[in-house]
Amino acid sequence: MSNRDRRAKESEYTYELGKLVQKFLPTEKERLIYKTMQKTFGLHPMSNVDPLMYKRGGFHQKRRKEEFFEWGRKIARERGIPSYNRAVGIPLGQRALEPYIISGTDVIVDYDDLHHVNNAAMQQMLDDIKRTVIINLDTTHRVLQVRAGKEITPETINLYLETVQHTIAGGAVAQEHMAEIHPGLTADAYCKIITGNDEIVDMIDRRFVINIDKVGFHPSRAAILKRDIGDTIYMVVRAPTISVRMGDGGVTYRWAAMQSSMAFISAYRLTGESIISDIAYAAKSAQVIQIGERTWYSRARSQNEPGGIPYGYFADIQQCDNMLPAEPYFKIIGEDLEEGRRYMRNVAKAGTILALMTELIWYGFYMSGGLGFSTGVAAGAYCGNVVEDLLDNFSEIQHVSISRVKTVPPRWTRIKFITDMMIQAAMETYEKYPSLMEYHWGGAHRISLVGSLAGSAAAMLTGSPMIGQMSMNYAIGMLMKEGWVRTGWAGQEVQDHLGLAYSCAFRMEEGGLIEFRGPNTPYASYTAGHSSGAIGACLAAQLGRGRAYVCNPVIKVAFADPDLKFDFREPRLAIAKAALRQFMPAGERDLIIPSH
Amino acid sequence: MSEKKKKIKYEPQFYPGTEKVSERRRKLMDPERRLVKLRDIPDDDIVQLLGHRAPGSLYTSVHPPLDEIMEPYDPIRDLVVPTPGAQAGDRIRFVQFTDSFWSPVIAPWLRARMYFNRFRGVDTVIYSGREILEMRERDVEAATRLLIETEVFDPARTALKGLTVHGHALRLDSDGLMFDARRRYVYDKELKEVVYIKDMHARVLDDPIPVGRPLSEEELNEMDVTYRWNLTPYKSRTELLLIITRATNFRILGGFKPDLIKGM
Repeated sequence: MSNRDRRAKESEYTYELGKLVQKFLPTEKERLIYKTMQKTFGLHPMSNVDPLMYKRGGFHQKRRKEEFFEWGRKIARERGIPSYNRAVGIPLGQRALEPYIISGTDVIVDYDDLHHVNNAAMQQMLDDIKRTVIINLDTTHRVLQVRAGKEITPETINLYLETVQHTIAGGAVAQEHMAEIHPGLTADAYCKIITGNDEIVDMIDRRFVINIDKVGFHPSRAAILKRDIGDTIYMVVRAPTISVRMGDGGVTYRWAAMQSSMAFISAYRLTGESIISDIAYAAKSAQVIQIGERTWYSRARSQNEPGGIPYGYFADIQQCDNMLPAEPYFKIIGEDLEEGRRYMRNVAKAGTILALMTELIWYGFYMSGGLGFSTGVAAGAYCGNVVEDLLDNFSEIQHVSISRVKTVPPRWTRIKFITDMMIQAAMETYEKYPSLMEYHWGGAHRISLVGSLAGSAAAMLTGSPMIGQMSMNYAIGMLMKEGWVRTGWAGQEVQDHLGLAYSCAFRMEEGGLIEFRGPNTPYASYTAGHSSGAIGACLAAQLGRGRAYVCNPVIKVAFADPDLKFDFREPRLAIAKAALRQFMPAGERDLIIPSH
Repeated sequence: MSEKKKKIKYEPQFYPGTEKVSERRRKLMDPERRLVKLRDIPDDDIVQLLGHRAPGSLYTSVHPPLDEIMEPYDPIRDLVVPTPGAQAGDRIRFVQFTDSFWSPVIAPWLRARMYFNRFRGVDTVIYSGREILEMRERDVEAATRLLIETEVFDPARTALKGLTVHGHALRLDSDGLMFDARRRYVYDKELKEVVYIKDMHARVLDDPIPVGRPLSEEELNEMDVTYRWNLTPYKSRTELLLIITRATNFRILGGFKPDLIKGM
């Protein structure tokens, strides 16, 4: 038998195993994790000794840190006040400052490039969410017909849509004395229509439509989305990025209401306060879909900020699963391992957005600020091919476990056995690969990642996010905690304790369905680091049920828009481009400041 | 009524499982079981390693000794005997250890459980690699002695780290020591012992303090408190996994509908 064909059996690992590592190397060498860790650290990835420790050359190992060093000196010279200064604090770089491989790509970046302040794509992702609101036009059209006596035709709708592109960018339509905005500053502002009615789509200028059939949804998904959206007409408003960067997410719906109302006034030649009030009220309150609610007082933020976004909306904002057929996952994994792996890998890709939005942006930035303490944890979701390797294993376990099964009921007793196997396989991967342990240097990395994967895997099999959340808590607060007697996120989050009860109760914490909970749900505030796991469970449950969206079909379609600056279908590529400084964001002020 | 109810003696159960890792955990948590002393560290060295006061100096007080205070009546005060540090009015100080992931003789969650069972007057916080223990000053010194001199300390894989605590998950250096970005300790090749050249806060010591020889790989494997694929695989730990399952089931049912819980 050649080395390539050699497959180690699980039982073979359980005897005298340290000495037998050599025997199993051919098997391990085929794993993605082996290849990636070897590329990352340049040494045997299964050794727990780093012979070059303390002899690595300090921060000079990294080009980016040298750049920071030079800039620190430059700033100090120019302003006379010290800035970034490597003479203070500990000497960095005694250990390996490892490069970060963006999963699924060959792009290798420096760790600092993944800090949200250094990465323009991450900022744009946040901005694109914050600057979006959706207005339903049905009430407005009714008011125009019944109260103003106007006729609504494809021509008038197209005229209105052309007008609103002008007003949303800061152009005046009804008054000469309005100061206008330089269109170059708001070039990313626009509005588009979403509807499930093909006839309406055909009648609207295609530049102003997000056509569900043409934005990359699998036909089975597109059919569900169109059916559930129906004949109603929604308008997605993208306020300019600069508006949310100057103000906050709460600016967006005000901007949208004001500018869309002005466009109605112009396009339909309106006058009369009461009619216009109705139109403005519909846009501002009655028929608007905010992406996020206001957060509670002690963490007060306005609408459309990440803390107020429900888990189900987060799961709909990502677009990584669009091309997957709307089929229940357990059938797919039972029949075809490779197709099942494709589902898993797309969930992994979606995890990039979920981890960035919750762990990095909400927890690490909004709630904490400053240093990128959660950068590494979020990076665990999209760097080093770790998730891919673990999920490949999970898929195999699932394939073997549920082949020939007609249904996987959402019962804990059914899913626990598979969860045990998956988590123990993940834990053993860390134990076998000290380089991976170093790569995920904090318990938070490991606990969040493996817990999220456990939750997603269980939810995908059963179609139940609650089972997913239970599985995540069990993985963290029980299996990993008792196996290693250590957890993560300072060991003080809800998941680290025997706190499963709330996840099964609708009333207990007033949380209701998991899809409608979010970082703004009171207890979830104390589980901020694991929010991505809850979102992953919601998303995975949707795939488990064979549906096309998690919570809201309009949100799902709104972020499938190819004209968005950030690509919600390929988040890793956008982030990699930004790390290489090749991603062009919106909202820049170059037009109104001296050249630099 | 003549039948007397038979008294059942309460026997605390510290941890499930029959294999050596469970046994290690049980031993460390059980205050009745004596921890094996592996090394002697002089009093002054402990004080210097902690770095809270100079050796020989008086303890700083934050309140007069309790004997000198007239306190309002509180039944709890009659029940709880103050620790020596509390009795004397010492300030609160801390000791903090980081435990390597690689065959640790103790690990954070186990530390917490051990601290609560073996010490009094403690406040502790668990992290993934480190554990801080706050007590009155003379109490923390006494606890530190136990924590450094006995089997819960391996000079190579356990470290006193008051700040810049990371390193638990990193690979070991060429001497087999856990990484320390502050280089508080080094391996003295002549002495064949680990020597602290800085205190817990990374302030350079006047004289190096030896803390003993690193345990051998064989010793560490025997004393490892974690399950791991090549020593004590987790997946075959039936009793522990059964207890975990039972607790999980009860929590799920309790959260959903407590009436469903049977067989407590």
